[in-house]
Amino acid sequence: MIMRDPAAVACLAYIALIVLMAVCAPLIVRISGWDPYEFDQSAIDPDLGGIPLTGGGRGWGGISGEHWLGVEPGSGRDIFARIVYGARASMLIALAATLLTTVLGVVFGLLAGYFGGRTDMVISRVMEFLMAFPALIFMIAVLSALPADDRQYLLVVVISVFGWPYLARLIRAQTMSLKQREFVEAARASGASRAQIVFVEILPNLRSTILVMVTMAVPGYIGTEAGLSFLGVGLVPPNPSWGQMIASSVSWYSVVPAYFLVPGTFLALLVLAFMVLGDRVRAAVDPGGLL
Amino acid sequence: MSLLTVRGLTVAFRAINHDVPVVAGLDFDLPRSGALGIVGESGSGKSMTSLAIMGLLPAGATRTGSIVFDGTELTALPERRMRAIRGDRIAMIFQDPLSSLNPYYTVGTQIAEAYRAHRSGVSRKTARKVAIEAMERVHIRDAARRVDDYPHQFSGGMRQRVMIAMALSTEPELIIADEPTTALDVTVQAQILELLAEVRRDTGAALILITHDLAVVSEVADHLLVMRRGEVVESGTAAQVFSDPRHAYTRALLDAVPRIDDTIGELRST
Repeated sequence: MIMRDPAAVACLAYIALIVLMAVCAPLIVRISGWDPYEFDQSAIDPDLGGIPLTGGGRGWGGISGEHWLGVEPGSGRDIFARIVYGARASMLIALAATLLTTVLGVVFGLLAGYFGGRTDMVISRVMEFLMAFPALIFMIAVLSALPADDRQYLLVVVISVFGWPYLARLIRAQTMSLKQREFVEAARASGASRAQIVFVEILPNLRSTILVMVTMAVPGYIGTEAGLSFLGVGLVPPNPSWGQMIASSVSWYSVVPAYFLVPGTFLALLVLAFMVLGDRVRAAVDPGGLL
Repeated sequence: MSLLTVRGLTVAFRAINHDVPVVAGLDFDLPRSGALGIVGESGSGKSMTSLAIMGLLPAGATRTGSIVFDGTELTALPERRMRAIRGDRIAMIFQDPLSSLNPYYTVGTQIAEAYRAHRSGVSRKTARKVAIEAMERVHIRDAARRVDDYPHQFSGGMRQRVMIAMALSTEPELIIADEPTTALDVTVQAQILELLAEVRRDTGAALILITHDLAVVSEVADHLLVMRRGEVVESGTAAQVFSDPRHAYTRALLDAVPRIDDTIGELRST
């Protein structure tokens, strides 16, 4: 049913393209001819501060048969290669963070919702603390204070720690209402254990909530990663990331707008594709709009 | 020997500094294959009685007294062993058949899994066959096909039949039906009651029928317990209670049933 919706199909196709790009990055780069770290002094004009050469078969921002999406001003690195590798970083971090927040959110949400009482008290207070916490400032502080070597793992952990309460809150509320339903009572009356009730009776009924939250979380985390990289606490150069590319394009904005436009467009489209897809998934799994 | 013997069963909820009893000193015996009706208004403690037997009282409720099921004292049984009895030897049918079924699974899966939970080593295939048989036994037409339908694809009466099929699959010795017909309309009610009576005849299971509807018990139960405010106000065979009610409350209950041959008089107050 979702496959008959042209918007959803377009979004899926774009996401698939980016995922493919991320997965096959080394292969693609070999075909395009430039790896993301390679400087090409011949594509920039050293007399004009390193802006990409135009004219002579080269287009806007240095776009040519050789550099498909132009070159980075100042260094002459191939933008296409950096986009491809940047997709890798963005997708990996966003997906890993989504996976981790989903696991944490579902587990703590179920625990708090099903057991209630003191368990709920403790988990709920922790969630409130995390949600009220100025997460962005904390992330910037922590990430800039810690060593930058394995930034990507740190990014995933920090994003997840502040991300799970939003899912857990929903799961908790739904679990609280589901556990009052008679089928839980009926399961108990037919001899089900607590674990069976939580995982066999309640969890499957949360599937649409989880699915929707996941499709909504991925674009959020792509944005967060880009934002943190933009602020200089994400992936460290020379590792490419879309947010970092946007950050470094700012100083060139008035001279070489193409440098800003390329990663910006990729990022905006990816986030949009996930958002639209999430919305369509929600409509498909929950036609009644109970969610 | 009777199948179920209840002596001095008391269920109380803890209030701030004292206990509030909702069932106070209940005694009754249920013979094998017997049918007991528990009648009473809302809050009379009838549902709490059934939950107490199943060991499924809500948090904050305490249970004292003795419940002996087939020679086993249930109040002293550890939770693990009680779980093995629940759904296997004692099955329960609830009031609202829609919310009693998990919307996520097909009815066949639910019957089969309830069965497999108590019969270790039974293959999915066998359990599925048991589910179809159970559905046929409760007269669900085309059971082999409907076994793969979801609860929302069944009507209310059919769902209650599914619940009964689920209860029957393990061939329990005791079925507790808590207001099984309250959520159904009158014609479907009659069918379900007929089905319960038939099931009891065929399988020899004992039945506890909890209801506020005297018409319902009169059709099914052979023994009757009238409860009010947690206490039994009247007990006896169904015929006795109906023809010669000794307690004023029972009389009032009976008078509240509209009669087809009665002239309409004034409302009676007790």
